[in-house]
Amino acid sequence: MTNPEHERWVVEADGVAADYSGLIALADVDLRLPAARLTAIIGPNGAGKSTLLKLLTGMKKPLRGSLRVCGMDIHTARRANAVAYVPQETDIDWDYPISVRDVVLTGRYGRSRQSGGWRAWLPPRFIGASHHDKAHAAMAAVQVDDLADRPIGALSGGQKKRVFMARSIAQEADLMLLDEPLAGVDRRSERIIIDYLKEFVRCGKSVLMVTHDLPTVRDCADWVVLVNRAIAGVGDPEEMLAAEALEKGYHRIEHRGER
Amino acid sequence: MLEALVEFLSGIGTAWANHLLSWLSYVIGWLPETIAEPFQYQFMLRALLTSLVVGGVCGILSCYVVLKRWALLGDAISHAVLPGVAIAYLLGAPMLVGAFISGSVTAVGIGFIQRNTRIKEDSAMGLMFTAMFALGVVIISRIATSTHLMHILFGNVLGVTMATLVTTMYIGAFALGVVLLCYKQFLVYTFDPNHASAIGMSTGMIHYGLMLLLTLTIVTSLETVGVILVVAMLIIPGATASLLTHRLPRMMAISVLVGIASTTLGLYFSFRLDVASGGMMVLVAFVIFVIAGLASPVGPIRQQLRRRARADLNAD
Repeated sequence: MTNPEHERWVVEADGVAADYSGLIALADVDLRLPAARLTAIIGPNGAGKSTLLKLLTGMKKPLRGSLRVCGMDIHTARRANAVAYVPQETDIDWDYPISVRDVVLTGRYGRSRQSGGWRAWLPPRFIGASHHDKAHAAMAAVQVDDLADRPIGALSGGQKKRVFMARSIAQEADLMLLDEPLAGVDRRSERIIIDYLKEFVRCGKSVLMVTHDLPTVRDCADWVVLVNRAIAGVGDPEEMLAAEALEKGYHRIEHRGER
Repeated sequence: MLEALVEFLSGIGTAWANHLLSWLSYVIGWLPETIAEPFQYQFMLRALLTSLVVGGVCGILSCYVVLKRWALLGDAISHAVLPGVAIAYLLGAPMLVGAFISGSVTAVGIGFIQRNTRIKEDSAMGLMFTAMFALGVVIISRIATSTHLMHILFGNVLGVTMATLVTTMYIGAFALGVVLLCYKQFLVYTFDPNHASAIGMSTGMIHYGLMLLLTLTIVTSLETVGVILVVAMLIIPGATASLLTHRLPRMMAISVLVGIASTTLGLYFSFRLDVASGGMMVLVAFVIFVIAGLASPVGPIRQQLRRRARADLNAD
């Protein structure tokens, strides 16, 4: 499938910029990310890392520029369920009245629409056994199947992350986006998450994860993007985590902060 | 063509309404004399059926209002329907149509201000709804009596006509149908809009769809509880239900029960005590909320019981 001369790109951005009511969060993003790798996005707070992920889910519309993901424009990729998203802990209302099983099942909603038929219009319980089976398998893959009937608010930090991983797995996407998947996570959960992501990449799928955990980046990532309101660098971990590159990446924001 | 359709629909609706009314009066016939007595009047039966529909629809929408933190938005839309009602009255058009148009204009206006200026959401809402409300007050002061204004502001469920009842039932059925068909979309959108977007749902459509349903619900509740108090019926049932369960379907069921209980009991007490029906309905809802709060799994009563049980255990 992969043409050795032409590497498959999972993200292709040309001149992309994004703003929040006039304040530029990301500018001049020209980016080519190779598929089938575990790519880490690092950078200081407020550098636009989460914004980059939200551009890829279509939640945020770019101010200008063109953006393609998995070889498709964003709208097509969304309709094709190509991109899955694991949110940051603070983006979720943990008092929401929903169980673990029902959260994971929401990963199948887009697939049930794609498979068509009248069942897609029914409430989640009735969308069909195959979808429920896939959701269950996804829960088992990150070992949250024994928590299926718990309300999500009753979970630990690591369990919460794994539940949202299970939702993404159930979605069967080609690209998994994760926003701080390792923040506030216990050792066992971290192990399960990293192992799953490596396996996912081995199957030819791609992972894009925002993180502050530089040691983990050094150990696990195949590719690193350094973001600081623009792309400050792209390369393999050794190169990007070298002192000069990091300093260059983190320096600009301090400079701006002084002004 | 359109007129024929409206006539056809209202014919079917009236037949259905009469059917339900006779069924209701049959059920009430089984109740003890003291409870059944007010409902021997036809206008009380109509009021009861309207209250049931309004209580149920408010109960369902209330869950989304509470989960999405739209309490202030509900308040804004409910106040903003006033000029629409006044203009419709002036033109002799149906009140519901005018109310719906001005409610929608406000909802869109709030979104517009928010996106295009630096003004934050709460200020945008406060700004739009007070301006619309003021417009309504000014128009009404010119054209109608103060009794009329009072009826719009605080509802007049005893004066519900057959035509209004039929419209209320249609809107109620529509809202229920949409929530049933779009349950998954609304669930994902209120829980994690990012995921909704990632799996190809149109978050803008869902957002405005939900807002449209909210506006419709508010419009149907106008006659029952009035402009000022309708927001209570959009907050209290959902808030009460959220104290008692951790599942959305159950929360919706409880919320509908609370909505129906407070509108019907409120109607009954308002007849018995000869007080304003809208106010009574909201008071009943609040009492139910307080009881639920005290008796909920994490409420003070159960906590006290648990503490005592633990103390007994230690004493042994």
